[in-house]
Amino acid sequence: MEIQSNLFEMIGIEENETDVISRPRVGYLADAWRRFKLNKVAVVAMIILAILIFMVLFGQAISGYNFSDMDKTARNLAPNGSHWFGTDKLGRDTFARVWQGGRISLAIGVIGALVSTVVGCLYGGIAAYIGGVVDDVMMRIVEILISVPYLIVVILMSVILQSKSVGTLLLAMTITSWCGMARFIHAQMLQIKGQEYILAAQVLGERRWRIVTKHMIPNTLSVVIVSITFDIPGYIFSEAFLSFIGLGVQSPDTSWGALVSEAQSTFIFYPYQLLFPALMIALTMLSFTLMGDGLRDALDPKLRK
Amino acid sequence: MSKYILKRVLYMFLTLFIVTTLTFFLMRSIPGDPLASMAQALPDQIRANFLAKYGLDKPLFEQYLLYLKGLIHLDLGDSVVYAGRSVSETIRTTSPVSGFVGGIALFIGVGIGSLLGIVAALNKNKWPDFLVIFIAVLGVSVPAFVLAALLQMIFAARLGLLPSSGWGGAKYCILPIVVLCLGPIASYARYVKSSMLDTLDQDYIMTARAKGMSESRVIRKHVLRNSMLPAVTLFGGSVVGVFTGSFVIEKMFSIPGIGFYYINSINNNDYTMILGTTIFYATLFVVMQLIVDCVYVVIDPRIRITGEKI
Amino acid sequence: MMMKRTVMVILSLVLCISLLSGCGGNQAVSDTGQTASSEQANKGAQAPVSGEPDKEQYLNTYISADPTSFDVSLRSDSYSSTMIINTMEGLIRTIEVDGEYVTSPGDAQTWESTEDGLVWTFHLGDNKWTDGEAVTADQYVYSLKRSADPAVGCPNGWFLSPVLNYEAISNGEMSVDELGVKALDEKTLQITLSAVTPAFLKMCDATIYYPQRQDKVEAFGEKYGSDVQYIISNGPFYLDSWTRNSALVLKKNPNYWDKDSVKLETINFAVMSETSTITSAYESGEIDEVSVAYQEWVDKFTAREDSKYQKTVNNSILFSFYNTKDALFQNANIRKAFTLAIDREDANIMCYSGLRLPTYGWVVPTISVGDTNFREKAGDPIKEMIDDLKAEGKTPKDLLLEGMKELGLGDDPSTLNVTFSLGGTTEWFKTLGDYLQQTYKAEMGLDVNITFNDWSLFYNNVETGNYQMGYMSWGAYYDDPYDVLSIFKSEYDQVSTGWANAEYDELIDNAGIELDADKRLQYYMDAEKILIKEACVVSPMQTSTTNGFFRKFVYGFNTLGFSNAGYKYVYTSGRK
Repeated sequence: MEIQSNLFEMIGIEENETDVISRPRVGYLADAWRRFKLNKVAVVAMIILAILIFMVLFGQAISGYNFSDMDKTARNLAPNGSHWFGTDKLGRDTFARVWQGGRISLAIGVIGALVSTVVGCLYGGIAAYIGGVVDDVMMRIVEILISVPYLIVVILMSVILQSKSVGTLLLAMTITSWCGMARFIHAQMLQIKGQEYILAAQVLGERRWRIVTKHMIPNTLSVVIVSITFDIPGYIFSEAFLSFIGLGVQSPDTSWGALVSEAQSTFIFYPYQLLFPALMIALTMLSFTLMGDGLRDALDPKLRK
Repeated sequence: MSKYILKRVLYMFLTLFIVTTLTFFLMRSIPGDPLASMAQALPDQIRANFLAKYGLDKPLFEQYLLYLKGLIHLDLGDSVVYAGRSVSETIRTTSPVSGFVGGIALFIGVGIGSLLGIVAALNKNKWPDFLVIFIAVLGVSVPAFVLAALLQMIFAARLGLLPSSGWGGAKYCILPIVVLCLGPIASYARYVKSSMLDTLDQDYIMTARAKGMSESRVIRKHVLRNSMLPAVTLFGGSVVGVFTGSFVIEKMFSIPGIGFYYINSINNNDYTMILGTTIFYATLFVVMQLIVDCVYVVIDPRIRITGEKI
Repeated sequence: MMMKRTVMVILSLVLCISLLSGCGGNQAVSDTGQTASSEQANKGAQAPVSGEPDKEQYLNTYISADPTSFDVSLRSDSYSSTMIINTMEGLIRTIEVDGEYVTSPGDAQTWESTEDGLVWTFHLGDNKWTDGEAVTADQYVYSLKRSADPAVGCPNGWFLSPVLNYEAISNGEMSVDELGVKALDEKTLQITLSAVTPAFLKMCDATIYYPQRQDKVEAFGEKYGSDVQYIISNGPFYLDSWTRNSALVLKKNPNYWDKDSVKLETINFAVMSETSTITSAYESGEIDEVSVAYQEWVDKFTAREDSKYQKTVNNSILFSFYNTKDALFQNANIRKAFTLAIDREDANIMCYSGLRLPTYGWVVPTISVGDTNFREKAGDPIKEMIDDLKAEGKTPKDLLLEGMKELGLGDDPSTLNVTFSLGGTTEWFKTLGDYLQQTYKAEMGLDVNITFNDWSLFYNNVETGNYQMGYMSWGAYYDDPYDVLSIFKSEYDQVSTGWANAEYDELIDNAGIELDADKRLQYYMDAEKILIKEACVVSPMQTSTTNGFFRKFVYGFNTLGFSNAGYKYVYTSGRK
């Protein structure tokens, strides 16, 4: 096809409009949020999480039962009209217990994962960033912390710290768990350090801290997100164990992890006692996994349109 | 590089020394003694006689020095709870069992996991991707105990196809391996997928494609290699985990592995066993770290582990 | 007057382990020294008549944990006891014939004691060790001296306390050669006691009174008893293979003196500790016997065509106890309030799925004095206390308030700070803790803190008096109330309650040397009354039970707890 000049039309130029950007300026995070919202799966995951949080706060009131009240005449009931999730071996309403237990589990799962991630990222990042002897020493410390038996450390903590606060629990849970994250980030950083774009940034005279914050940390994000999603159920389960040895949630309060371990011995007869708390843990992890994947896509600068 | 390795080996001994020392004193600060877990209400004299036999009546620091002295001669001592069982012999006979079961499970787990991860990354937001998420969620939220019990109930009690537990042949390994490989499948799939997506975004992949390189070649030559790093990091820990066994699974399937000793020694205050297993674990861990660090360089030659600054 | 401290090492350990693992009944059913009176719970549970024994005699069973050692001086757990009872022969064996205890000959074919009951003479028969050596009195002398020697560090040594000079030797004040045991000739053993001990013969059944070979102990050194090649046996079976934490195989000992009574050629023990593993193994036919701790399993297995059910009441009591040195629990009314606030029937259903036996006195229902069952004669002190309280129109809360008033603590129970310590961290303890907490709150308006610790840590706290109230179990080893009552004597105080009562001590001392059964019974009853009704330092809750299922083709197993026959008389008939 031949190009003919009559196909074109002069529209002129308006001098005063050359500086106008047709689309409003969107910041990095705002744009990420916009793109996150477009991800249907991630939005569904967020709704699930919102429902979980709502039920954890108000579920017990809805059930009409107190989570700790025993009822000798209603032991080990299957889910039914009055006990929607059934009852446990002391005749306590599982529906009420699951939501009561979710309070501590959700909080501990999320906060624990975040704390250990932040500490791990900072530690691993700093070690890789500074490099040299400092790096060596810092990573050897990680090896030592991982090698000392965790059980000994927490038993000792339960003996020494008489405090039952959530803070103590968090401390016991995160005292060594950030080490895994630190190793991951350290390795990622080492790899990224050698990438061409870092070299380019260096050549362009970018300052070191900007290289780290702008280029290196964002590029480790996908691994971090995966790690968080695995950490959350991990913390939910380890809370149950730590509460047993006296750090954390005390009777009559309960948690998902505790409910799961209580149901284990007879789960063959009463599978629903195990199913519901396990389902909540699964839903929590699922929603965080899907949200994490959505977040990863949203934060990826290359996918920015 | 060899200088670096030599330096790391020196560090290794220091690390092990600190781990031993820390564990020794931490463990001894827990109230109780080996007898407390054996029996209740022993007369003081019996207790004193027992403690004297194992040298536990000496000043703590002297015991520590004695232990170190034995350690230099590679003598980990005898178990305090299991009379006459040497700690090093226990480790020597039980860790290969754990290693065998765990090793196969890890091999299968890493294989299937990585494969799933790759497929998921190439089919993002399609069903393989969701399958991986499903497996990951399932693998983590269903406790191993429950899965093991279910498998025993189905394959042993109902169908009678496999023994419920025990040791001594391939048929005994199947159920524990199935339970054990679920975790690795879940984690490797997720990490590999995530890391691969990262790599696929890189400029050099675009370059490779732009050069007209076939997609499969791009994946094999560039993507895979560059996305293995988290898997390698994870693998270092997994291998150590294999040789230290799984307490719950070994207990449920009556596998004569080492996992039992890690947990039980602490609950029983079996001091020599605690130290022995900890040193074994720490040594494996430290060596694996070194290997992993070296592997980094092999998969990505741009990595400089020898510690230059940015 | 002192000696015999009761030695519960074995039993208490079984219990704490079984409690820790959360399934009370997971010790092997025929764990000897475990179960006492039998309750024929099911139709034809113990069909005494069987057909012709099978040609191929073997039994597949399980044990809940790896034995610590086969060294009779050093073993410390019930699992090794189970093994040693089957692989070794002692002086005598307590067996059962038609549901009654019989003291049958072991290595000793006959025995007698002097009139004052202080010197015992045992005449050994012709038993041989697995290597063909004869069993001699010297080997007994060596074994007892080895266990008494402080340098050996024997955890069960105190079981030798009736023997002359044991205490002094253990304290290092006397040479081990002074122990009251000697070989009159190759086949005659003489044991001299430091004081009359009515239950001595019953005690001699304990593994610590088994013989040992000096040559082997010395040749094997530290390894003695730790593995197949370092073990030598003189019992009905010998250890053929041992895969740690996985399996043990016993084979019939061809040199055993009474080998004609032994029918099983092979016993395969799988080491299994999880209920799910054990029940699956039983369902699939891998094991021939099982014991369970939940009513659900009892129902499920009772429905099986191929099984027979045997419920036995054990010799162990589960109880809570109080630290009488504590600011709050120094007050008897407060202790009584806590004791009476628990409905034992209710607790049994809620916490033990109804399988255990609610108990209202300290001495377990299985123990007798002479021919008289103690509990039947002594009644139920706690029931009486509950009735008395009701008759006065009062509740446990009133008792608590009275106690608080006496201590000047006001009249609001919710202001009290009470911690209840539990020695286990499994879900089973969690259920118990939740139950107790809710019950105390409902009954007395009191918020009790529950703490869970692993056994050794818990026990350390108890021993050092660092607790307010606790919960544990105590097992009787031999069939006499002295065994379980003497632990509260002020000089022993083995439950660490800090309680001391001169009258109580005197009653126990009197009973310990009283040879007349009726008088002894009276002393014990008076003592228990002080312990429970007056002082209320312990609160007995339940007696543990074993709920065993056997394949229909298994015969000859023990049904009485103090039986020490192990698998000696077990056989199969009709195995397909």
